[in-house]
Amino acid sequence: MKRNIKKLTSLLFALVATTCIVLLSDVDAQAAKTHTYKRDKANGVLYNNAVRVDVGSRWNDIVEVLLADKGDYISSVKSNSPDLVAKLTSRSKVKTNDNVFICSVYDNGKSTYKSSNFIEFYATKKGKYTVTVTVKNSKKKVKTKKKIAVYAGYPSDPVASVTYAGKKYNGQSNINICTKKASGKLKIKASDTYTIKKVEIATTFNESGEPIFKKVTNGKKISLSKKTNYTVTWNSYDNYNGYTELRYTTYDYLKPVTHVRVTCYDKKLKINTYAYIWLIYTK
Amino acid sequence: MRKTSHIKYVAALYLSVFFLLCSASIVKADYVEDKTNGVSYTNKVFISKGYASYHAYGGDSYIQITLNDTTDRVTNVRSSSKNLLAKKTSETVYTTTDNYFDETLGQNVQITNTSYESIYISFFGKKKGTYTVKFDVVDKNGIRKCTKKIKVYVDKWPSTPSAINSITYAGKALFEHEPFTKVTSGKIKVKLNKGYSLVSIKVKKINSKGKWKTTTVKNGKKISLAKTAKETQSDDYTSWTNNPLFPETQLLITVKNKKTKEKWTEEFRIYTMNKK
Repeated sequence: MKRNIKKLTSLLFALVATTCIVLLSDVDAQAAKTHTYKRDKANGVLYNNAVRVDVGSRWNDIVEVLLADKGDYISSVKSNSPDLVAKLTSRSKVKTNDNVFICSVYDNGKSTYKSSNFIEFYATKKGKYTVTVTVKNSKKKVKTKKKIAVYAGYPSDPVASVTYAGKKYNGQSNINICTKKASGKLKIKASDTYTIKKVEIATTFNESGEPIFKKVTNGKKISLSKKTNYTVTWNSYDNYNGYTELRYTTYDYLKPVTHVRVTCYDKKLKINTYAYIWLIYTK
Repeated sequence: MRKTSHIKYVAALYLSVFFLLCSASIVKADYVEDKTNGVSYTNKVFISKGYASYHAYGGDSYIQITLNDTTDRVTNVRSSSKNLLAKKTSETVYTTTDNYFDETLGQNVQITNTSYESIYISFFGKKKGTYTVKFDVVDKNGIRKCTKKIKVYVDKWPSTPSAINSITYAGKALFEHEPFTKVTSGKIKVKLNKGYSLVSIKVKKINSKGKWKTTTVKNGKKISLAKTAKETQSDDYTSWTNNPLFPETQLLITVKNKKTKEKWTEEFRIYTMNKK
């Protein structure tokens, strides 16, 4: 009897463990998202639940709170520390019944909202803070309280440095690197609190003008694009009765550009973000 | 101390933007409009040697050429030297072709219309110097209408100084009040460089009624900054209220060049903080 119980227990344990692994891998799949929007469908609230801000700067990312039900409003915004100021700085609401706010980033505009509100921050010290947002209905009753995680003083740029063909260029992303080396090792180093997930390069565009990215190994040798001519077709029309229309843009770059797209994982906000770098062959 | 070329690039970028801003107010006729031939373009460009960017189509800078008659075309872009590369790097073409049988002529007729827009010329400097880039504008029959010149300066930044020497508020330079100031009132003092005179100092801010108000103040006198900047607006579809965390006060300083008599206004902003 005891042996059977032991066997059953270990079987049960294995079952629970497997379920946990399946659930955790589901969480991992959720980490592949690229925004911080969180939705509470029951209470009609869509909001950014995490944000990074700089210390001592007026220029920070803004948190948006969208409310679905008419008459709902934000009654208070409270920070858990005097070192992080949080304030409701903008309130917009629709006037007509057929007008709505949407969030294309979250669900491509599927869910609709009656008001859009913005919360802004100012931090005086590095740290992690919690801001509580209270939502009330038209009868002034508390509907729900939402918590926003604010990370102040951590690097805002996921890229710390780019090394190409032996030369190091210190962070940031969205930079143009001019080089006379047609090939070389490309190494991207992540800033603190980020990790590099993928590095891709594009040496050519498709017909719509979008770069065609191909995966490369971080730290390995790449060859730069030598291509300078592209054509992007915007629209072509043929009425099959003798009338045609064509609109296109021609590009004839002075120097060829290689696009680098780095997929970075933000360990604080738990989202993926892209960082772009352009390598220009100027020989 | 070892300098990386990236720091050099960033420094050059900041310097170029700074000097471009200076030059914008002093060096006139940067943008030219030829109404007769229907061509508008920038005729002075300042760039850094050896630099290029994706956004400038592989050059360090670019200009856009606007043609009033879009069936005209920009062609034959040429540089005065092999040390300054210039070419037409982008152009958007729109063509329509109509084929039909013409009863009167008794034959098939084809009519094609082609127009050009979003025309860009980019520049890449290989050596320091001053260069001339020329381009032709031809009509739809290929006949040359006119030839235009652009002066391109590589690593030769305009050195004309700004009219304003210094601005102090409550005894400190403006940049010392960044990112915001707790001093909500103080004396404003503007000092100008030789050859310039002060026309007026105006303070612009949102008042308690939510409207922008401008008042003229005398140099050296006390001004008070905006402590709140609440604003309510509405249209047919939405209504909104703004309550900024950093209320803005604008300083509009109008100066005059004593020699040329030219007047212009420079804008500055100071911020206070409002947590409520």
